[in-house]
Amino acid sequence: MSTGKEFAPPDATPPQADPIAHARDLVDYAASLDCIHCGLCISSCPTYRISGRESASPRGRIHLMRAAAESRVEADADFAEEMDYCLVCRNCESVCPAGVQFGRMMELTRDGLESRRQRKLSARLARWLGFRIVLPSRLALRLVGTLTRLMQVTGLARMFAPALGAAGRALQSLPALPPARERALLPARNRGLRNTGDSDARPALFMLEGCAQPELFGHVNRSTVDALCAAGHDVHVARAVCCGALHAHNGELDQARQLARIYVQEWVRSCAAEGAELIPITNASGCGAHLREYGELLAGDAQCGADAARFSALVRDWSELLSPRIADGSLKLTAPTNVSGPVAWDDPCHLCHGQGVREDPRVLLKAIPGLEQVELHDSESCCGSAGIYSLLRPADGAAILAPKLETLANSGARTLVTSNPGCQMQWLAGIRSKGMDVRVVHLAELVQPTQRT
Amino acid sequence: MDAALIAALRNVLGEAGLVGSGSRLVPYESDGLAMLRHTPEMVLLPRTTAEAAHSMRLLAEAGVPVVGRGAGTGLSGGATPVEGGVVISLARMRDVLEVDPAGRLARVQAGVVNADLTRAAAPHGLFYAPDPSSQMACTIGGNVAENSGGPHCFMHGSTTRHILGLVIVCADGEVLDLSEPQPDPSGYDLIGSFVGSEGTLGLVTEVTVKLTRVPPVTETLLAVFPGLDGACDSVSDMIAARLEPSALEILDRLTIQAVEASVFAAGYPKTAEAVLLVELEGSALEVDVTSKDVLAILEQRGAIELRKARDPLERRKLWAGRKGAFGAMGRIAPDLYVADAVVPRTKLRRMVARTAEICRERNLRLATVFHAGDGNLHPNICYDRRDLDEVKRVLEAGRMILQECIAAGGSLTGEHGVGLEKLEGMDMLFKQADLATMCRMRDAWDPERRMNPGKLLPVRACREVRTNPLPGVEARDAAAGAES
Amino acid sequence: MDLHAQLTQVVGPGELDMWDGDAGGNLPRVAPNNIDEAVECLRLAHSNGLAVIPEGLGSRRTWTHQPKRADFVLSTRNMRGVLSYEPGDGTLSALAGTTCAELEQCVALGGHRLTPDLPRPQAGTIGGAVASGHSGFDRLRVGPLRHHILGVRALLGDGTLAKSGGQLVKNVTGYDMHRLYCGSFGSLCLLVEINLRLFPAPEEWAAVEFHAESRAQAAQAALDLEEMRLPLDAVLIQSPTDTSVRWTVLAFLSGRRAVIDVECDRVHSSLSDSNVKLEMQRGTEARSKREQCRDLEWDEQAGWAHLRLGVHPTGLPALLEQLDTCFAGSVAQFSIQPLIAEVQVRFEEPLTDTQAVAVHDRLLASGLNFHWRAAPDSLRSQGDIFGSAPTGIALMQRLQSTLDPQSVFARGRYLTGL
Repeated sequence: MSTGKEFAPPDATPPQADPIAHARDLVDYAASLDCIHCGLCISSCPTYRISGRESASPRGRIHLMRAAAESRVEADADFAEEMDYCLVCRNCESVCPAGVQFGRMMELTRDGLESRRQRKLSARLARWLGFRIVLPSRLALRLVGTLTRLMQVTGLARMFAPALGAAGRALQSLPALPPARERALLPARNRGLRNTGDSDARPALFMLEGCAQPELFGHVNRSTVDALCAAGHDVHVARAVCCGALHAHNGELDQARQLARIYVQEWVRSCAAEGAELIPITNASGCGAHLREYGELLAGDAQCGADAARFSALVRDWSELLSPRIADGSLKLTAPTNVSGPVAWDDPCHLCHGQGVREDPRVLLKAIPGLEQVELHDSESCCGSAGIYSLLRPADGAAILAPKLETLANSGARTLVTSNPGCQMQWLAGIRSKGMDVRVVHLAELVQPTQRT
Repeated sequence: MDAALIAALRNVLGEAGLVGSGSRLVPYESDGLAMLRHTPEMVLLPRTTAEAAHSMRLLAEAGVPVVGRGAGTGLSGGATPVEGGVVISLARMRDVLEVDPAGRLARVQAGVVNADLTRAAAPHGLFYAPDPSSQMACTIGGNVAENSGGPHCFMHGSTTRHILGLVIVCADGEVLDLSEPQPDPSGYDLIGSFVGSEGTLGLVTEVTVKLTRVPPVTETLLAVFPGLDGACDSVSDMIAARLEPSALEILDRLTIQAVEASVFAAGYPKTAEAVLLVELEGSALEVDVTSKDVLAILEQRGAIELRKARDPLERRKLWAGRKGAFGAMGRIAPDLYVADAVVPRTKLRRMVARTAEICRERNLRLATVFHAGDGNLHPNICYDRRDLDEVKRVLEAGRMILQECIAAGGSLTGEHGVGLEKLEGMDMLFKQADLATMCRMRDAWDPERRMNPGKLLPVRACREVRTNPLPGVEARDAAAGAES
Repeated sequence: MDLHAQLTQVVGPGELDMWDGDAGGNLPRVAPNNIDEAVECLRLAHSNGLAVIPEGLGSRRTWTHQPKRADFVLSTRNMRGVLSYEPGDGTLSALAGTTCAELEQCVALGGHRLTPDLPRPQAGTIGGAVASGHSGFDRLRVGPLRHHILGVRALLGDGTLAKSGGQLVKNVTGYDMHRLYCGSFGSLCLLVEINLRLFPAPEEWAAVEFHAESRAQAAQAALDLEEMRLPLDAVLIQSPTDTSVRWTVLAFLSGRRAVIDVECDRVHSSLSDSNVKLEMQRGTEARSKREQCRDLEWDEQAGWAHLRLGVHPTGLPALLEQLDTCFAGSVAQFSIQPLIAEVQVRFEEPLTDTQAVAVHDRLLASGLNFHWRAAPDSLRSQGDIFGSAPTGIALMQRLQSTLDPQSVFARGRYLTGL
């Protein structure tokens, strides 16, 4: 479904775009006018809190974008660096009274910057491999997964990492990959358990397995499906691989659109085959937030636009399906056997800021019998994972996680709960580096509905 | 800027403590008043008083003007950089140094965010009372410079009443350590006269603040009115009846609509012409007694709906809506002219009506949201800077509103400060002699006038009185001493 | 023309008398009838290089040092009257020479009480209160006087009339010059007009009195009362007198009647629980008890030497510890407001010079923040009745020399030469 052009390797010579000219296409100028410069956002911004630079704050970045569009500033290296430094955690959107769509503006700006950047050939090759070859392909992902596990198990990873530079650091920051059996993919159809007495059938779901999740934390997908089936939902598993969130956040909007199209089209076909509108769900917050943007992303697409808008309006985080059932008493959870000591929930940015989902995970956790919970101060601030940010800028990612690790240590929690593979990796790496004794789990691993008879 | 100076500063502040050139300077060109801009020569980000003082000394030697900056949320251009000047930002001075629950005080670096201070005090049943609407971002240092207000200053008073101590880096780099709290320190009230000086006397780097006990009971009422008159009259009645709520805030229809469309939607009725937020604090009994009187006034003045916040969550929501109101206006207008006039509380209704008239006559859209209890009006006039005729009409309306407020016994600014924006109005309110006297005070602090020059006092007023202590004075006093 | 004649020319013969004050002998005292006349008097001083002592009714004459040099006294006693009282706005503007008693009466008509609530309100002017930064008895409730000054008009040494602030409860336009003037003891300017914020007159008053075995116990009782979060105007503990060997605790409450009813019951039952015998008064009785206590703090006529010590409440325990050492060997009476950590010390027997100097030296050594109000002359001529020079003294000196470059206002009356 991809054209040859999209999979072509990068040219040996980078495009000779003038970095100064045409700054306008960097920025959604009209959107930048929504910002009234009140500054309420700046203290919510992790990069501002660390650097103290207003150019590294949401208001400052919008100011820069606007100044670039007004040709008052050059989109120079400093400009690009401040844009790259942004986590796109969208914390600022949660506090913006004017409703500025910062994430969307940043995606556009990064896309514009990417097209005029003069990257080294090796960097261009790595990006091409990552974004164009590996992420969209299950086969390639499996291959990378298997190779990585092999290197981890044999100790080759540890041996060669130092020689591999940035790639080596990335390799080392990966958690231990599970054995192949745990990385197995889900069946295409999973039937929900139904009682004869059930008055209403639960809506059928359309679930995204995601690119990294099956390789890194395959059991999380299984736990999610188990929980949803136990709650009476049929779960269809999409064959599409990557939702394109990483592409959109990293200046590859065209490829992101392409992946979105693939996904929406598969959803349309599945709905038609099922004769019902399937609810798209995901258990990865980063993907969920991006899926909700499909309507905007494909707004100009004559073929897919309308479907994408309908799709986006239906997208839910998996926890949103279960929490109302806890509230109305139709679902009970069992005490988990796999956890001891207090647990703490850390809101993934793209769940709380990106999707506005804050209560549902807490409702689920509260409903787990015998679970001791502690609140994490500043749980809505970014952990520094931010998609592949922690791989691209490991030092910055670690600096952003540092205060959160301290909070975690002070909280006394023995288990950290989140719901995004990137956050899980970041926390695991941080906890390991500090030698702390804290487990990191996905919420789905704790939510086990009582089996109904 | 001189390369040797930059090198010396970099030596003091480190690589991350200095923004020397390029696009990174651009976001500093304005504060919350985006209309006025000037890109600074440099931005310094000290982490300690010592770093700030050392930098200041170097700048003094080089004769460079200095503009202090907190979060840049001010609305009067107080933090707008000046010609040939550098900005010293407090953004990396964010440590809460000490919370003393027994002494009900806290010592903080000046870059600590207002809301973070209250968060640090909360476990002890205390809070920091001044609550500007920008409290989630604005810094204590900025609050000190502007003598900031906020809704609850109606009961608790503006920033100046909550400052127990300051550490000030003076224009010449000397550190003036007034951090030790004393009820009536002997000598002149340096702290009291420094608070609200808008960065023209020195740079504050540490602040000792008073913390207030969280009241046993807080009750928040929302009264809906068919017009602004009823809401204003209710407030005047409460003041005249000497009731003591902790906050009295009015929002008009356009403001309500902007807020309700934002993330801070508070549940204000969207079709209401005006809502009045009343908060009462105290013992259960005090609140109960006052609340009865308040309700009677509200009903008598024609409130069509009365709502009481049921729980802290609902209360927070009602307040979040009020505090996000200014930012939320971004939805209804590309640009906003925010006035900050104060009038005696007996004149509320008349001034609010006159403000609306002035805007109507000029075909301008007005959103009004204000600290009614303090008589502090915030008419927000919507405009689009690309429409030059509209800009002209807005400025004219702004001037007229100020003139009428002053004629009614009012003043230019209740909490935003004079900054650059209201300089012109200073002549309406003060005589030359008044301004010249203020200049004299300034000259005692900063004889070279390098601190935030051109702000707060019209330059003309300052130029006229270059006072220098007369050399003969000490000699004469010495002679007198010898005689006695 | 001699000074006497010149001053007479400005104010008329009736408003000039002799003042048997400091600086080695009698001085002419002039009392201008309005601001214009006051300006003339200051210009006269300014152009002739004379030094002026500003005063109201002179009731706090002994609160400052003797000046290094003075030529005449300028009294505001004839510049009196309320300029505007806005009951609907709770603000007041008055000429500086108006007595606090007059103001109290005026604002009572509109249901307000005057802040500051000062001892012997008929004896002092509002200008004098502000110039000396004299906070009221109800400071615990309303805070210090400087928080309630909304604006002033002041005459500088050269006769410049300058205003700051306004008559508005909230206002940040221009520098708060009035904060600088408050407590400057006439060393920067002559205050001619004062604008104040007012507080509601309470519906009901209550006074509670009981005894404690020791100072520590009394201080603890005060803290306990505060923990109850009562509507307290003041809590006072007084040292034993001739008639009693125990410390006395006095608490004054005021507010809405319904509230006071309930709170009094609460105090009653809480103290009865701990077997404390208490006396409680309400209404006018409570008020006069309160006034009696208030006025005791500053009884000039009795001629007692008297001083005030204050620290931030955190320092209260240390302050109480130091009292014993500082005042050992003298017959001192203490009346302490523990919740604002303010101590008033009275010497009901005249201090000998030696005693006074001994106490004073110990105070200086203690590092405490003190001010002799009514100090023996031996100390007043010494020049440190406000304690040792505070941080920022150099800046204060610069402030004085820029605001009053010609030293029209007599130097040396305030701390360290100011």
